[in-house]
Amino acid sequence: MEGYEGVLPKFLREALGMETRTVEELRLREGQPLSASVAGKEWTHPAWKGRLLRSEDLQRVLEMAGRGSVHTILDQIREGYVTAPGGFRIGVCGEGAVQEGKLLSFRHVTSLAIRFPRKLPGVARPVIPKLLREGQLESTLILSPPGWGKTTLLRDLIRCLSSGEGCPPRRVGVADQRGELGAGHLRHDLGPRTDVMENLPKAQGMMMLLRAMSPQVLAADEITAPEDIRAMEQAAGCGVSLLATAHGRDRTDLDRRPLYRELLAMGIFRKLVVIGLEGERRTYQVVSL
Amino acid sequence: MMELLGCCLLLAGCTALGLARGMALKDRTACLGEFRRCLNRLTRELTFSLQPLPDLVAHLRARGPVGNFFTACRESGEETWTDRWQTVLDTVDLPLKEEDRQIIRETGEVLGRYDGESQSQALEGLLTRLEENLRQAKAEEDRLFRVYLALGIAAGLFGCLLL
Repeated sequence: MEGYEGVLPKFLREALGMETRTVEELRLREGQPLSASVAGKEWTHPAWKGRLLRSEDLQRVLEMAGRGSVHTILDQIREGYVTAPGGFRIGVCGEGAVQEGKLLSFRHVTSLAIRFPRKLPGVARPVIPKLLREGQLESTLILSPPGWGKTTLLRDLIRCLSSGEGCPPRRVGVADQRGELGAGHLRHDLGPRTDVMENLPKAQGMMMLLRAMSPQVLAADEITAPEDIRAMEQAAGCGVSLLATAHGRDRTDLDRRPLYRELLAMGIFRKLVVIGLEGERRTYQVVSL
Repeated sequence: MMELLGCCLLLAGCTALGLARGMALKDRTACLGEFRRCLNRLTRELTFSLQPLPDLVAHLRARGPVGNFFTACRESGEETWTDRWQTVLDTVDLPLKEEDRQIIRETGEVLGRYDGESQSQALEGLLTRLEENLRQAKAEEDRLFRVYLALGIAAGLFGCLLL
């Protein structure tokens, strides 16, 4: 966890300074003390218990995340999150201000979840050989429940493919709608042959990358909409290998959801990487589809 | 000889004082004009590029005291943009009257708070007021610059006569 200076307010920087272990997430709830997720478990440092968070504290976090510019993050807020410089993703929860059925903004923010991006260089190296066929990457879907490290693995896979670690170097296009993969300085960690289309809807970003940058591999985080599937279908038809992530514990979870049932039925993805947890250690199981 | 030197110094000093008063009027006009240029650009960029304020401000290339103002805003240690704007407005030396400062203060309360279009609309209202102040400042400059200069010279000459 690094790079939060100038992104998080002083009270959070001081609180984080007290915690020596690697914090994966911070949870801020109005009227409650700060809590942190460490190794998948939420807990409160004894020194944080005396300070109950106020609504202004939460507002300040959002204001700093948007660099004092609501206009730059308003579309994200309406989706329930904000990505701060450096790829910190902040989930937003509270009382919505709705007009004609659409969320305009939050009248009152009551909870925030700050997720810190992790860099684990080399985490993808053991996985890469299992994803290759005759030296070419087979289209791969990474699967795990939220917070288990899908994005971290995806980021390192992109880096390995782009820099040719464990495989021939490839030109990688990244459709980074939420700015979690390659926002700001994170882009420099994605390898030398990576082009990032940031802050655009995923499907649009993928199509623009296909037209403009001729990628050999196309990567996107969290497939959530039918448009994403249409864009992937089109990209696969152009001979591009795909890398994407999805929420779920195993293949059965995917089969339960119509969107993923359709995706799997298309036969675009040939490999599934299932992330598991053994104590505090992540495991990566590669399954052929 | 000493009297002649004294007279010359007195005349030069008084003229410089008159000139300085006149230049203060010119400085105010220039400062208001530069703020108008910058706010006009901000208004356009807020509906087009939607960049964060620190980046927008960096691209303004403001000159003189207004440039110092925006640089101080970018480099200020305050955590929020509103705090930065208000603190810097109170600390940076700007050749403005209180009524001009009030408009700049209100601008700081609008920037970064709403969607691009709402900010743009609010800025247009403030720009209209700023233009009015600029028009008055120009009229005042035209009317008073020569008066202050003449008064300075006259005061110097009067002092020389007394000597």
